[in-house]
Amino acid sequence: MTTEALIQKNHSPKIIASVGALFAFGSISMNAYSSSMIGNSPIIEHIFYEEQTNTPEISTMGARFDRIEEVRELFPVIRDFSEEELLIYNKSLDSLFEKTGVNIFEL
Amino acid sequence: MLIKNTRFNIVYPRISNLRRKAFDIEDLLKDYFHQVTLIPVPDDAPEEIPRISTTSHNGHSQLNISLSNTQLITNYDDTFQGKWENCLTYVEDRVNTLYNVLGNYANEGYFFSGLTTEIVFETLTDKEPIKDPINLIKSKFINIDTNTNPHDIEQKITFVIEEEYYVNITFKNLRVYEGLNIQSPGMLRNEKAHYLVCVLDINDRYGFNYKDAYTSNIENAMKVINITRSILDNKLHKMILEGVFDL
Repeated sequence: MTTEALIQKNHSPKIIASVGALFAFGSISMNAYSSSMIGNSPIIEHIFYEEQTNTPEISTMGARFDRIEEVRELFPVIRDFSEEELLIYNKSLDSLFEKTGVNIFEL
Repeated sequence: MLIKNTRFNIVYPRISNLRRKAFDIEDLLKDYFHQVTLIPVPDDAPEEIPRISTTSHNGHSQLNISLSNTQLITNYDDTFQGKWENCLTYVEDRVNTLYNVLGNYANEGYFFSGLTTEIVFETLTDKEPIKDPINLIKSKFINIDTNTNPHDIEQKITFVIEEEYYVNITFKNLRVYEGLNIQSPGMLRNEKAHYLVCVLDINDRYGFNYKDAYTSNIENAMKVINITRSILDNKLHKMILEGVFDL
């Protein structure tokens, strides 16, 4: 189960904020499970932290493995083009460049 | 005993609008650092990503400032490497400056700070090169029985002192190779040297982790440096030579 999923289950903005702050220190890892009591008792979330004893390094862009994920984190509003936007984009590229007749993949 | 590099981190609650304070920070740091570079990331990017970056006048140190963490990395040259006291005095001096600067913006105080020091041993006290760092680590710190020699080894030990400070001590081996900086088959066939490395990471994160309403300050930062100083001064050799950890 991912951390995000675990946090969302809490439905508590306060907890989300505090857990977010802890993650900002760098690599606090955590395991969690839920247990519910009979009837309408609220879900109790248990969160286990792994104790981090090291000084956290500042985030470096190079340390991230998944570049797409990294870009999405940096630019939260990023999304794919819609079909219409893609057409406009390709059209604008076509208007900027002239065909050379050379396919670079055949060079 | 050569101090290769140090990394000092100060961790604090989020400072908002840090980018707008960049030129004030630049002014306050101008005795030691070049003009700052503003890193173009959106305001809502994760707070641990640096917003401000600069290097020291002589290029030995890199300073990165994010919304919640300030990091000073220093690589030491030949004139400093063998003189650990000079390295720590340098760190102490710069850390003092950083706290003076951050004090203007970190209104809610600091969470904790830490100093990580990487030390390479070419020789020990008898000036004889350490021929087999893996065997040394294995015999002093790890009681394992194996019919296959380990190729790499790393042993981390963490102590807590004064109920505030973690003392993380990591021993490992380091192989150095010569050749071209390209990936190709057999690129590691020319081993140039094999060293014993110790990484000391001292911080007051224990206080933060375990004490309600804990706040860190410059005194804690100086204590972190002094604990490092005391280990480098007279404890580290004893750990390696005798396997005795007297903190």
